Parts: sequence; structure tokens; C-alpha cells
Amino acid sequence: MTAGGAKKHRVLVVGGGFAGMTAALQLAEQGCAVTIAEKEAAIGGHFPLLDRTFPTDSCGVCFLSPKQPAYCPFIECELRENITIKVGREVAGLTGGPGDFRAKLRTIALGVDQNSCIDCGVCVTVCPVRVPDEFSDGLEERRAIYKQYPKMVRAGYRIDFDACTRCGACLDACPVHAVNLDSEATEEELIFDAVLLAPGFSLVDGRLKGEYGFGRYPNVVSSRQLERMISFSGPSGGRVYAPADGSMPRRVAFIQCVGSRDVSCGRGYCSSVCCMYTAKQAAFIRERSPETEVVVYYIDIRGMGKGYETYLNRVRKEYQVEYRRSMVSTVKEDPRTRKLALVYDAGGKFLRDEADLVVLSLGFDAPVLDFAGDVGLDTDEYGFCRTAEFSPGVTSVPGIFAAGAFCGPKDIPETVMEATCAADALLVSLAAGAPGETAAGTGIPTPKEGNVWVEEPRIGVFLCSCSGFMEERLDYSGLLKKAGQRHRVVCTEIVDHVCTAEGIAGLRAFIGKHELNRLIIGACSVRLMERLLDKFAQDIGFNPNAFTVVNLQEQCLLPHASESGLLKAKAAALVDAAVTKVYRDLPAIGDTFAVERRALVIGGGVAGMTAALSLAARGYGVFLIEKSDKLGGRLLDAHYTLKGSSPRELAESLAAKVTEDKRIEVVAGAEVSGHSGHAGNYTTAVRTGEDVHVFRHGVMIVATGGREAATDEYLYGQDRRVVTQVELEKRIATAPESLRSVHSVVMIQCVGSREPGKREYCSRVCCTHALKNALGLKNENPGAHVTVLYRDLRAYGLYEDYYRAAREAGVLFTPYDLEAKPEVSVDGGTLRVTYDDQILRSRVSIEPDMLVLSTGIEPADNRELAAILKLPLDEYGFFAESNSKAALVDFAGEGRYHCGLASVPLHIEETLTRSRAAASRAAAVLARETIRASKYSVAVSTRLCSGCGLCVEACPYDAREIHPEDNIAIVHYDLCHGCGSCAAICPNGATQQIGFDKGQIMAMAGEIMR
Amino acid sequence: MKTTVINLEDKSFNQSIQDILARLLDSGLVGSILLPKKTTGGDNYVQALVKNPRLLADTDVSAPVILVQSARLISNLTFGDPGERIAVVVKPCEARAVVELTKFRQIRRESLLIIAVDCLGTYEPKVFSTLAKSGKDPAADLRKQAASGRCEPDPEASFRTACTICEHPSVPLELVDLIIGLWGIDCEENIYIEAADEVAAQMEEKGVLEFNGGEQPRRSECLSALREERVKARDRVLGDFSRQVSSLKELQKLLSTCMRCHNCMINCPICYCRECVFRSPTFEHTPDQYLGWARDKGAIRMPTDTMMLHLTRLNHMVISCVGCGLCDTACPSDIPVTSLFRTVGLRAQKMMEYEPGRSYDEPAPATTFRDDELLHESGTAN
Repeated sequence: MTAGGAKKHRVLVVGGGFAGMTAALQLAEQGCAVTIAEKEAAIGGHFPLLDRTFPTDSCGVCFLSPKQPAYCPFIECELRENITIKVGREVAGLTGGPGDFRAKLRTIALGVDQNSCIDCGVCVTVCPVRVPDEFSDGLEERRAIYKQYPKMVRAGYRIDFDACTRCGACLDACPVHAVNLDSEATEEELIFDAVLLAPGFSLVDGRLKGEYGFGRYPNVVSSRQLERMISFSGPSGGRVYAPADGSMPRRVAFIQCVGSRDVSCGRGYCSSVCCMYTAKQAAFIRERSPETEVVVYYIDIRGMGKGYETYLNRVRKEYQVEYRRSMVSTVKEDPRTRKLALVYDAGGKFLRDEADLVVLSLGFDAPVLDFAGDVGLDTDEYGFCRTAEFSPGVTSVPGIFAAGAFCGPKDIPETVMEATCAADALLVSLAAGAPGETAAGTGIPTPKEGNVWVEEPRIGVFLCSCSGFMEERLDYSGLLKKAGQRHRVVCTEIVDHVCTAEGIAGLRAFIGKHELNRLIIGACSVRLMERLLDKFAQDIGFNPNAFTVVNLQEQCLLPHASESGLLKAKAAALVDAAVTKVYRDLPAIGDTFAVERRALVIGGGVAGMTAALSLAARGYGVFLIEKSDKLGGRLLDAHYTLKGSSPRELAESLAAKVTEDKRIEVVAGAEVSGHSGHAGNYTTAVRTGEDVHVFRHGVMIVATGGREAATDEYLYGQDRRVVTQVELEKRIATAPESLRSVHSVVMIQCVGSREPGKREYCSRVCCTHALKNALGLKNENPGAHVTVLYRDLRAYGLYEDYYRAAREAGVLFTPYDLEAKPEVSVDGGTLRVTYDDQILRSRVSIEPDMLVLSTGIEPADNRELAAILKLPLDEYGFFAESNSKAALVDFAGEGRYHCGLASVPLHIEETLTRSRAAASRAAAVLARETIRASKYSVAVSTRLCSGCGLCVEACPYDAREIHPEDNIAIVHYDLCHGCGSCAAICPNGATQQIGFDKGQIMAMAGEIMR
Repeated sequence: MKTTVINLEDKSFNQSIQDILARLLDSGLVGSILLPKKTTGGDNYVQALVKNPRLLADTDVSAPVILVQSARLISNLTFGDPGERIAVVVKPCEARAVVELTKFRQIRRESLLIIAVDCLGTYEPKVFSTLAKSGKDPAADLRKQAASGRCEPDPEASFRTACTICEHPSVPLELVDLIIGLWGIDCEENIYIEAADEVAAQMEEKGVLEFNGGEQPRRSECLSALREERVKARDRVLGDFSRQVSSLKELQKLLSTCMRCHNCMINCPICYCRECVFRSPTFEHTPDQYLGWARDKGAIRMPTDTMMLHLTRLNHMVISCVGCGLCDTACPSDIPVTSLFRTVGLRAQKMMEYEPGRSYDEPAPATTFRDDELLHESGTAN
């Protein structure tokens, strides 16, 4: 469906977890025809396991807001017309190259036709076989035919053919004949222009660490099992219990890093996520059962994302979860009491602890891809996909991109960012997304307005029989007879399969014959059919707002299956209400805006330049606004990274590319002085000296950067021997010889970071900065004593290897607590650092030649800019993301994005990831020629509006404003999410929600309450 | 705060006030004055917007009658920028309605010079007319009693119910610019005025008024005694009302003679909507709806939606109800709308810890959200 007849680029996304879904959505939105190959029976990956996620303690992905597509990737992937989901498929082979990849997709026999299955669940109830469910590591049982995940859009039923006895009970019971006990594996070969790998990860098997007794002692559970226990869809409905006897545990011990940071089992990397999910699980236990004690045995607490520090503090202080920095060596069960004895190391002494439940915090394993060797995909020693430090998402094979845990363990936000970035890299490689090529690729059709609103309503009522399944149970003929008696209802019919394009096309004849201008469709979930209906409406020139779907499945059949009388009465009432509703339907707001297909990027550092280049590569013009007179930003002063790349060279090469690129107009020495408009149409005034330039653009990316924080702690500024990490880095790079005479260096971490009253957040990068400088020092001067005083050494993910390398190189790491910070003094010219050594359990003094402070990162002073742009800052002065899980570079509403250190402290590679992610999000807007206000919105009657401003206060998205001259409340349709808060608070209905106006709601309520 | 006590000498109360207001107009501090002026018929008072100082004759700032709530008129005058400052002479209930309407952006406070006059009680307009026609001067009669701290209505009349239970016979100076005090003052001899510092300075500079610092301590004594008395009266009256109207059935009875004239809504100072939802397309039902309802229930009351009107008005603005009682005055069916609104209003206001007209800075409860309200709303609070 691309404008100008250009062909769609075909992309294969391998894996339908969070990374795969995110990438697929980005690609589909920008005009690619995406195929998701998922080996399980449903997409979702590990996400269905999680009932709630940190740090918000909510699922947080589905925001129930119709205009937030990325928030529920499950639903969106199902609905997007450019996405084909192939479940039960594995990639058996991959050959060819860019533009001509040949993928062999082999079906995995699921035994259930996913398209016919209607999720009635009868097959499961009749199956006589019971086997342990691997979804919960065997904590629960399942049948041989089962639903793979508890809560999914598509049911995802499958048969475990190893367990199945072929008794045929399910076959007979299935009302729609979706079960097939003889399904055989088949293969198909498909051709793709590019491939994106997102195969995810698996959790380490707890048996790997035999000394903890997992699999032998029932009360030693895996984090996967605990996640099921705390899930409301789990076996105990959210109650934590000791599996041996089902009792409530009085004391729970978590053991961290099981199968992580452990070369003895071939997993030297840190899994990055376990510290935070343990904190979430521990908090949940304490919240649900306050009498249960919880202790966590850990090496370092690695919670380095935005908001995580606050979350961890709350878990410790508010939930009183005890954290012990110590590794457990063994767990033994008392066979009589089933209590578990833990032996742990406490500064050289071994102590005992006792618990009723021990939880093993399992790390991530890299996935095994059979075809990786075929195409020569480069993976590291652990099996994770290798990408170059400054090319995130790009693999060693041209045309193949990768994202998510496959590129190294990471949590959901980082996964979302990497997947968006990889999609961007893929699109740039295809030179896709250029203006004119993918304009209509959004999957949201523009309706032709039929002038139905002035005509007398002619209403058609259609009920979808769902292969006879719903027709029987709901007494369709009775429903239609009653509906047919209603005024203006001119046609009532039973139809089938309106959830498919073919089924819905069947309505066409009735519409023509009866000259219908309002349609009611009784079927299953509204959202599943919505896009289909919109598209159908567009094809036949029918206004989409003249459709109403009555949800006869979720609102009738499922909740009232056992109460036949109530079921039928409710169905009849809902159909009645729908007739009343369509009678009063009004047109959608038809506002359409032309998109100004240029971008404005604020900040000429690495983040801004990366985003600008990415957009320019897609063919869009970019205005790049830089405050100083030179491109490059902070990284011009950065000499090397832990992984050995040169940030300075990166900054210089990006600057050179930007300067050469004719699509990018650099405005240096410039500051933003004014800004207005909405997505697709912004006007920004920029001042350079005396001159003011005015730019019109469709999207904006804010990349104003950050800086090393200043400090006056530990004699910095008073003694020349006290320096910051950035200053040391410069010396290592430019005057290494001066370091040869250094005998002893002390580094202090978290200076001014993670400290109440100072910067309370973790700056994320300081630990790796210290590692790289410690290694750099050791490299120049192997004899130098380097001591790093840290609180938690956060060398997460694959950085752990460098931490190990530094220890092996003789760097001494010793922890300190915030309550007992190191003391620094000068005594007769001697610099002295004194601290409590937790291992030696004594007070230690060092007299170093040099004291290096890791002072953390703070954002540029963004207050003035934020005020001009009317964009929100968080409590620390970073630009605030709209959702901390799934929309990290977004502001509320589309059109404006942020990335780099303006958002949050990041490593350079992460900055690049987020910059490309922001560019990709922005490009998705520019890919459209026009933006049409969503049909989920509100309309304001200027005649009725009193300008009282209640709607402005009620709107959570800043989409309402009182027009300064007219004194009338207006709607910014680009920001409006259609939530209806303003319509609810408006006293006289001057603001009405389209499709749910006050008159409609009252009339519908009147019908229902008869 | 600046105060002054002006000796009337040989002038009347009204003459002296008219002189001050004339000087105020002449000074240019305001461009016009809104105040009660004798009606053309001669037997009542209604507000007039005066620009010519000579036409201040026949005005009486203490006229004990309200035909129209000033806050509504002030909203008409300042919804847009009037281009000049307007002095408005208001009663305490009107001043408090001004505070509420300011929060809803219906009044521009900065365009006003608010002069609040202590209220000695008001009569229903037709009662006032009858008294005036019989040759009485109800305003002067009340002013004579003001010094005693207790004002009884004319022996042949009674005050409006709203006034008998009003806890606000005056307003604090923070809400207005100038106060003309009456309670506890010998109005035959003196005029007592309080003004905000800035306003006082402007007036002195322009020669409108000298602030001699004169005090009338009796006034605050009278007011606190009066307030105590009124609260008791209020609780008694509203207590009786809620006992009487204790069920939906009783409420239906109470409202059964409502003729859908919308007078209560039109005269309510807080009902600020340009056009009420009850007069908008939302309530334009189709014939088949009426017939459908009649079919389902056998019979329906026509006109419909009268109960709904009162419930919706309660829902929308009872939290801001200042208790001025204009709804009672306006109701041709003598439905005790004020008692209903004050009864519900007091409870709602207490729950929200809100008092209408208490402060400009106190946000309207509909625009604020406190975490503990979530617990209330969701029913998870203990």
C-alpha cells in the first residue's frame, strides 16, 4: 500500500519477543512488509511471564490509550496490516545477501490452527494428560493441549505431542475444528531484503549450580517460579509459598548471580536484569506478606537505569529487605523440617543462615541460532551477537541486524531502544523511508467522508456467527428479531468471519442493497477488528465513525457463560444500546495536516549528529542547531572507551559527515528562542547573535547533552593531586609518560552520586570509566598500586569481562558504604585516604600520589529551553520520557523526541542507540504525507464553551488550552490521546468525546437500564 | 489595612457615599461603577452601571434586596478585557461568588475595584416593593438597627431564608479592595471604611478619601456574635430539611412541581456556562425516545429531565455554592432550592475541605487531585 507504487521492502524479524515486536512495529510503520517468525505458539517472548515490571510495579506496557501504539506491542503487532506473524516457525536456514535473503522457515507442529481457534478453552478441560508446565519450571501442571501463555491477544494453544496420548478428546470437543493431531512439519522458503535478529534469551537452568540444590530441594525455587507465584494469573493467585508444603515462608533468601558473573560455569558476563527483578520480587513478598523476612545475598547491586536508585532505596528502607554483600557457598535442606541452611562468606569467615524458601536469581543464556554459521554471523565467546561499539544493531553480516538480549543481556527499556535503533539502521541500509516512497505505510487509512450525517439513519445490524459457536449460545435469531423492530433498522443478518478481510467484505452487498449508512457489528474483541473495519470503510467510502462494534464475546459470552438468561439479556441490551448510539453518531474530526517533511535537531554533539545523519540518510532535510561554534560536543575531549574505540575520532568523523551532507543545514552559535506548532508542523525561532532565523519542520529531536558533574568534595580544587576521571583520561591519552612515576592511585566512586540531597541517581558510566582508566594506568605503569573505592561496581552486561580483567591486572577493588565514606586529608604535604575496609574489617590508610574522583554526569541546564519548548524535565533536570519502559525517547504525543545525555546518563554506545531510536521514531512521522487527527478525540462547541479552563486542568497530556484571544478552549489534536477526561469535566458538554458524546452515553444507558 | 471613620455631619448616609463614589469616578481610578440604583418603577433596586457621577443619585449601596446577583453581571462586564477598571459595589454573598467565578476564568479580578458592603439582611423583591410602596425606607430602617448588632425585619415582612442562615454577613478585606462596614456602626452618625493599603494610598493621592485611622471595635464583636447565631440557625434549618427530605421519594416530591423554567440556573451566579447542557442538543431527545420510555414505563412525567437538571446542577456547582439564595427567589414554584443546595453543599464542601469564596488561591476541587482521594475513589480507604 505504498504511494507511487513503490514496492515494499520485505523484512524478516526472527523472534517475536519485546525486541522483535518493537522492531517490527517500527519497520511496518515505515512501509516495510514485515514477517515475524516466532518459534512458540504466540508472540511475546518472556513478557507474558511478568505480571508487573520495575520500577513502576505495573505492567505499564498497555496504557489503554488508543493513540499510544507502542505501548501494547502485542495488540499492535496483531493489528498492523504490514506485519505477518508466523508462529510455530523456526528459521532452518538462511542464505543470500541484502535484497535477496532466502530464509527457510520450518513449521513446528502446534496441532492447533491458530487462525480458527476461538480461545474457548474446551480442549484443555477435556484433555486427560497432566504434565509439569515448563512456563513455571514445573511449579504448575498443564495438559497435553494447552495455552502457552496466560494472557495473550491471540490465544496461542498448542499440543505437546510428546505427552499427547492421541485420545482424540480435544478433537471431538473443539467447536471450530481447529485441532489437528496429525500436523506435520513443513518448510517454506521466503525471500527478504533484510533480516533483523531478535531471538531473545533463555534463563539459565538452576541445576547448573548444584550446590544450591535446585531440583532436589522443593523449597529452592528459581526466579521464574517465583515470578509465577507473585503473578495474579499464577498457581497461587499472587501468594508466595514454600512448594514442599504450601506454607507461607517466614524467611526468604535470594541468591544473586546464579549463572552470571561466573566463569566456572562459562558465563563471565553480568545478566544486567536480575538485581532489579529480585528487588521487585522481594518488595512484592514484603508487601503481600509483611511478616515474611527477606534477605538478598549479592555481590554488587546493579540498578543503573533511570528511577532505579529510588526504587532500590524504597525496597531497602520502606520494604525493609535486607541486603547482604556476600556469596552463598552451599544450601542444605533439613529433611525433617524442609528448612534450608545457607552457608555464606562474611569477610573470610563462614556463617550460617536459615530460610524457608531460597530463590535463585537466574541469569540469561544466549540463544542458539542454527543458521548463524551459514551466514557467518559473528558471535562472542558466550554466543551473544557481536556488534561494533559505535554501530549498535549492526551485525558483522551486511543486511542482517540484531537487537535485544541476543546482543548481550539487557532489560526491557534497553531492548526497546536497541530494537528501534536496529530498525533505523536496517531502513537506512535499504535507503528506505525516503519521501514519496512509503508515505501510506502507516496502516491507518484515511477515510473518504460519506455525507451520512445529514441523511436519515439507515441502520444494519450484523452478528458474526464465529463458525456457529456464538450464534448458538447467544440466540442470534432472537437478538436480530428484536433489533429488527427498532426504528430505522432496515437490515439484520447473520454473517461469518468478520475478523477476516474476506468475511468483512461480505457486508458490502448488504450495504449497497439496503443503502445502509450506519453499521452495527456484533462480534468479538473490538480492537482486533478495528483496523480491518477502518480499512474496509476506506475501501467502500464509508465513514469509520458510522461503525459500532458490540463485543459479544468478552462482554457477554466469556463472563456469563454459565448464566444463559443473563447472557442473552445482556447481549440484547448491548445491541439495543448500539442502535441508539449509531442513531446519534457524528463524524470524526476531519482535520488533516500536511507534514513539513524536515527535522530540527537541537544539539550538535554525538547524539544530535547521529540522529541528524540518520534522518538525512532517509532523504529528509535537517536543521541542526548547535550552541557553540563547533560540532562534536563533549566527546571531542574523550580519548578512548573501555572497549578501545576513540570517541574523539567518532565525534570528528560524524562532524565531517554532517558538514558534507547537503541535506543537513548546520546553524552554529545558535540558541532556540521560540517554538510553536504540533506534530508535522512546528515553527522554531533560532537566534544567532543579532539574527533570528525561523524554521518550519515536522519533527524535533532534543539532544542538548550533559557534562561531568563538578565537585568540591575530597579536597578537589584544593590539592592538585586530586583530579576527576576525565582529567586522568586526558593525561593517560596525552601525557602517559607522566604516569610512570606514580606509585599509588586511589579512585573514589559515586562522588556526589546516589546520595540524598546531591544527585540521587546513578550516573551509570562512572564504574566503567574507572575500569578503563585503571586498566589504562596499569597498562602504562604495571607497577602502580590502583585501589578503587566503590559502593556497587556496576560493570553490567558484557562490561563484566573488563572488571575481571582489571582485577586480574592487580587493581584492588574495595567497597565502602554511604554511611562511612572515605576520608581524605593532607598532612604535612602527604595526601591521605582513610577508609573502613570491609574485608579486613579494619580502618586502612593509603597515601596515594593521585586521587581520582568519579563525579558522575549531570544534564546541561535545560530549564530555559524546556520552558520555550513547553517540554517536561524530570526532578534532576533531564528531559522526561513519556513511559519509562517502552517510550524512552518520546515525549507525550508524537513529533518531538529526546536522546543522549539530555535524557539520562548513558555510555557512548547507548547514546548512539538512543539517537538512532529517536531518529527512527521521528522518521515514522515524516514518512507520512499528512497527519490526520485520530478518530479517538474530542470536539469543542465554540457556542457552548465558557472558557472556564477545567478541561485544561483535567488533561493529562497538555492537549487542551484556552485560546488567549477567543477565550475558548481549543484541542491540540497531535497531543490528544482521546482519553475523554476533558469531556467528563466539562460542565455543559461544550467538549464532547466523538463517538461517546453525552447524548449518546445517556441514550445508551437508558436502553441498557430499561 | 487602612481605616477611616467619616462623620456624616449634616449629610445623609446615602449622600455621603454618593459623594465618595462621585469623587472616585472623577479621580479616574475607575471608569464606571456598578451599584444598586432605584428602579424606574421607583419601588425597588437593581444594579446600574454608572459612568456619569451625577446619575449616582437614587443609588443605595445598602439596599436590602437582590434582584440579580452582581457576580453574574460582573462576569458579563469582565469576561473579556473591559479596557478600564470598574468599581463594583457588592454584598458579601456576591463578593464570594466573584471569588468563585474568578477561579473559573469568568471574571478578571484585575479589572475590578471591589467595594463590599456589610449585609444587614435582604427581602424578596416583591416583599421589598410592597414595603416601599407603603412609604417605608427598608434600607434606612435596617441601618438604624445596625449599631445594636441585631437587625429585625419589618414587622410585616421577613428576610429571605438564605439570609437568615447566612454565616457571612461581611467578608474579609483580603477578598475585596474596600469595605463599607455597617454592623455595629451608628449609621446615623458615621460611615466606617476599610481599604487595602494600595487602594487607600491611591485614593488618598487622588483626593477621594482621607484615611484617618478611625476604628469601630464594636463591628467585629457584633460580627462574631452574629456568625455564631447564624450557624445555629443554619444547622437548625438544614437539619429540619434533611430530616424531611431523607429519601429519593421525598426528593422527587420536593421537585415535583418543577416546570423546567431554568430560572434557578439562570439566576445562579455559579452556573457560569454560556449555555446549559440542559438547553443544548444533548437533551434534545428524539420522539421515538420519549415514546420508548413511555412504552417501557407505561407513563413518564413530561417534561422529562427535571430531576436530572437539579441533580446535575448539584453535581456541577454545589461545591462552589455561596448560599446567596437567588435560586429560591427565582423559583416560581416555591421549591426550596437553596435549602437543598446548602444541605448538600455543606457536606460536599466539608469532604473536600473547601469553602467557596474563602480565597482566590484555593483551587476548585475539580481541578485538583490528592493521592488520598484515589483511595477514597477506589474504595480502598479504610
